[in-house]
Amino acid sequence: MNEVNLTKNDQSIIQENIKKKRKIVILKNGLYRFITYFFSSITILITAAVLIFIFQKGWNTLSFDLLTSNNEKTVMSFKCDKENDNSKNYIYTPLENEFFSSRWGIAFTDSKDTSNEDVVLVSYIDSSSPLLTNLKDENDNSMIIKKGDQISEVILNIDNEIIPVSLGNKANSKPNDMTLAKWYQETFDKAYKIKRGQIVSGGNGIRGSLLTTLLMISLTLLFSLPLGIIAAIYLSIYAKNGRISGIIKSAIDLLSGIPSIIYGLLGAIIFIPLCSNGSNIGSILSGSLTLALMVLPLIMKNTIESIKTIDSSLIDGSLALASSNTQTLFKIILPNSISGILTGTILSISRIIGESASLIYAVGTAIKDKISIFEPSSTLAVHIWNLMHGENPNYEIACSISIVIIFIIIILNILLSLISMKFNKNIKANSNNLFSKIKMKFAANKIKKENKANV
Amino acid sequence: MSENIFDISNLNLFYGTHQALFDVNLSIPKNEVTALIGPSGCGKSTFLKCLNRMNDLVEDCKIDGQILLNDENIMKMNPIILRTKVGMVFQQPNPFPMSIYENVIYGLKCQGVKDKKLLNEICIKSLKEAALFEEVKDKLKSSAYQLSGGQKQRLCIARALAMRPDVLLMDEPTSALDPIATSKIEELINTLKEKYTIVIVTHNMQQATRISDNTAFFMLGRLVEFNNTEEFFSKPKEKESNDYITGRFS
Repeated sequence: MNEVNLTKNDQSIIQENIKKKRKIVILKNGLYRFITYFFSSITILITAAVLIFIFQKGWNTLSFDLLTSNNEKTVMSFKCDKENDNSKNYIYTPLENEFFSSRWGIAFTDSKDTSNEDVVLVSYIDSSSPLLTNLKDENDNSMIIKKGDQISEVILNIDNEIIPVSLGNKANSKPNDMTLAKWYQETFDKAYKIKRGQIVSGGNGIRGSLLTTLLMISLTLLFSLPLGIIAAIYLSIYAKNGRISGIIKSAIDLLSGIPSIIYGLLGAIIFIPLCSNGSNIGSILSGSLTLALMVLPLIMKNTIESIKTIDSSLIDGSLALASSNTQTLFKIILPNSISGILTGTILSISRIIGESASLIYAVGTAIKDKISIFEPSSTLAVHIWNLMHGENPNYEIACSISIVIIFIIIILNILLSLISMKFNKNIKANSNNLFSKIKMKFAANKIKKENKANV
Repeated sequence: MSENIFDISNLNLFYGTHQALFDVNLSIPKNEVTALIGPSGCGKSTFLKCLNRMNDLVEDCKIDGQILLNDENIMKMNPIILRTKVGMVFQQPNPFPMSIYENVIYGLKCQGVKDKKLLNEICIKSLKEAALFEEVKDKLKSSAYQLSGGQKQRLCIARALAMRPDVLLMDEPTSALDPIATSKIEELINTLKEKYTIVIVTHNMQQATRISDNTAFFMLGRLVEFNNTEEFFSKPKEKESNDYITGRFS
């Protein structure tokens, strides 16, 4: 009898507590939710603000030309021997922003180059124009002007004037009421001879650095992936669980925390002499060896963690079916640790793309157009450093390069998740499923309006 | 009586310093179902794992004594060859995260069988023997993880049968399954015993009476009694056997 009363007392104490503290519990829950939403929004806003800043600054200078042209301008001088007595009238209907010289059969249009300066492009040239048929370069070899070429620094002889006129690109030399291209067209219409001019191509392009970055990523992964995966397999499966393997595992964690500039020094001291045959100049090869050292701990750690999570019943099942250790390794263990390996790869790629300080030491900072593995070159990040560290930092191109980097990372991530999906289509537990289960359970754990009415 | 496929003598097993099996002597007859019963922790699963040397995979496990498979000492055999003759089905179904087809032919591929026609043939035959073919014949290439628990277990049985072993070891194969799936597998065992020898560990005495021809009763690591099932359950020789069967424990 007494025992029953005691239980009833405990129960009523608890129920009283629940009633009393209900409001406080609700307030606390509300506060926690508010904090969660608030800080998440701040994080998202800041991330968005950073991205918006970069895109705003860099979008205008981003162009196909930027991606594909050389960093150095190539200038070709031309001259046209034939005098033009204005006897022939070339016909062409120019588009809205084109200016057509009917005397020479050439149309000009305004444009901006990669450093946002005004330039004049050739937008149309008649097939019988003397600028096509009688053009010669400095060595008297014949040359042609194509649509899209950038033309500048033209010196021409005007009708009835002895002193030749020079058409430059500087804004202060042209009349104020017309664009550069219109000025070119009007001057050409008055000219009877083109003494000299320049065709400019390229300049400020990042093609070399883009190629270097992709090469650097591929080479580094080529060196580090096989080494890292095999070493991870050895450490987690074959090595005895003694003190030595424990020390090695701690060393891996330690190595991944070392600042990358130290790896750069390592590269400069060890790899440059190794790869340079005495000239002590860095190369893409020495850079990727340095980076391979840097990302090795990342790959090993992720592979080891991923092997750890394999269900040992799968291994029992495989061995009970008379498979050898190696067969179990390649058919069961490795395919199931692909997700860890891919995580390690993605993290490594992000680190490689972002590396600047270590590559400045281990490779060098020269921006090149002709890329060779045994020569130095700059990656995109080092190119940004190059643009920003002098007296005239060029924010626009730097932001354009940042946009390019962001796109590269997005594309690589998509590629890698496609690969991961292909391997994982048979795996039952997907992390997405776990999160959606939690969401569903939390969502159902509320007082539903219909139920409230019934109560 | 048919001849014996396994001859076990003076088997003692140690996990480190702890002894799990004490002086077990037993002969398992060919082409019959032998059930191993006993209370939890009595060593029946441990004993079963000795028969295909899965105990080797446990750390610190030492085995004394002799186990002969068809008069060959299994401790001197290559364990991989042994496991091609002695297959195993585990308590929790553990299909691989691959397609159903890949699961069934896994063991064969490990042994180097490449002929696609042969693989297809054996796959279909094993699935039919495991009474699973009708249910999965249209989705052999789909993931094995989509099957229900009972189907997964039958898949594991088909996968073991595909190796055409001499002996099939089953470690409580139906304890994780519902009654209908259980009865399907029990039916299966009845049909299999014509071609295979089956050794099955079970907690369920009724199951032992339903499907087995011989019963071995283990307690605290010792083999207490081994007899023909009918005799064992109707006229047990040892007192401990009697107590266990009637549900009386000390």
